[in-house]
Amino acid sequence: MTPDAALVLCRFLFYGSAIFLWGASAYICWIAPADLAAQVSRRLRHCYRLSTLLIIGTTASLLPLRAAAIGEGWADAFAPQMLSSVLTGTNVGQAWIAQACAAGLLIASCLVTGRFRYGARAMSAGLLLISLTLSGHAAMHSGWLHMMHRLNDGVHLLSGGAWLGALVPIVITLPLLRDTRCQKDARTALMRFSTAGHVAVVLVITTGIINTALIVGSVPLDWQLEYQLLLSIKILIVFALIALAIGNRYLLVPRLARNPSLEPLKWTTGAEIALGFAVLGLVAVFGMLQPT
Amino acid sequence: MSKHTRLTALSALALVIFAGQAFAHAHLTGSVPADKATVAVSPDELDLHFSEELDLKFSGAKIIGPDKASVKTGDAMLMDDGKTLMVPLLEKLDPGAYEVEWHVLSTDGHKTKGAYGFTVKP
Repeated sequence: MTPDAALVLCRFLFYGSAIFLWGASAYICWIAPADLAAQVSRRLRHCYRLSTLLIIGTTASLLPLRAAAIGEGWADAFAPQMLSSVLTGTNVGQAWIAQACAAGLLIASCLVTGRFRYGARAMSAGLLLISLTLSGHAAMHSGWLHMMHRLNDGVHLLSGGAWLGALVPIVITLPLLRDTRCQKDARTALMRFSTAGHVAVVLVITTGIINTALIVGSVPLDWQLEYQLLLSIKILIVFALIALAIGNRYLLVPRLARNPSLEPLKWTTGAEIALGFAVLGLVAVFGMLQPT
Repeated sequence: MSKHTRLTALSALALVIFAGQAFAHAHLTGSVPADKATVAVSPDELDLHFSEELDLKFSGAKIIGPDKASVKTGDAMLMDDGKTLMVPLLEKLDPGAYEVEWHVLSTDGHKTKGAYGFTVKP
């Protein structure tokens, strides 16, 4: 495997974990009523553990991978001189320090007990996502445009992440609609998610358009360039995601009152999660390519 | 205007305003001496202008002279908000064709490299 391919894999795993941690914790914190939050959170504990370990692993690997990609290959991955040069002498090194600090906060948030636990996890996962805006294409401009681009990218990651990440606890919440004890809470949570989902989708699209304008400078239709081809595929997948979300909200949910089967809703939510992974995979690849 | 129309209009406006500004990955936009230029006197330094800010640590240029040997240069410096790589020349260049091979790391973490040439008039 080349250092660049390993970097793509590392980015994919990091995005997936950070987005799950952020979206799921945001749902637990701000969407689900307390009793339901505790129940869903308990069922998700293995996912939390796995994604926290992945965050630690990918963050630890990222610096050597950067060194190998910037330097002359694998030999540079563990050369102390090279690592310290990347760390102190480059912008990606500085961004890595920020990411490592956010990962440290995530580890610390695992030690928090009581009701602040979910909030601490949401905060640190949000910071992990924001740390991504310090490097990559969001760092390509200078001056005020630079700050605006970062801000826009941050909103894009947080809103998109909140949407996709929350789908996992949603899958767990759905069957609870049939459970007489938590039916009411589950309904409240799904209603709130639907409202917040509208806001998230509008934010994702708006910031996505601005990001494309800032990076590509036009509609990404020059498919000779792999970046624009993959971005176009990503946009199509996002359209499919939005269609599924609209179908869920305006066709399947109103039908629930008449037809008690939850199966269609479970399937479409599962499909949304699968498409979400496809989006993250594409971003992990084209984020490293030349856009124009 | 409905919310959606307004949003579409705003997005379209944003596209127009920012169109053509973008260039991730540093491209060489110009240099002194310029590519394929012929100069009458030996330059004191080479200036390479890029489309993006650079990380000096992993950016540099090598000058290869008419005899295929590399020319001695001083430590490269960044100027113009980090977008220009300045390479001082320590010795006078003899007449002949020179090739400049550059490699840079932009602050967004991408490596690019390239080469151009110029001639010092006899």
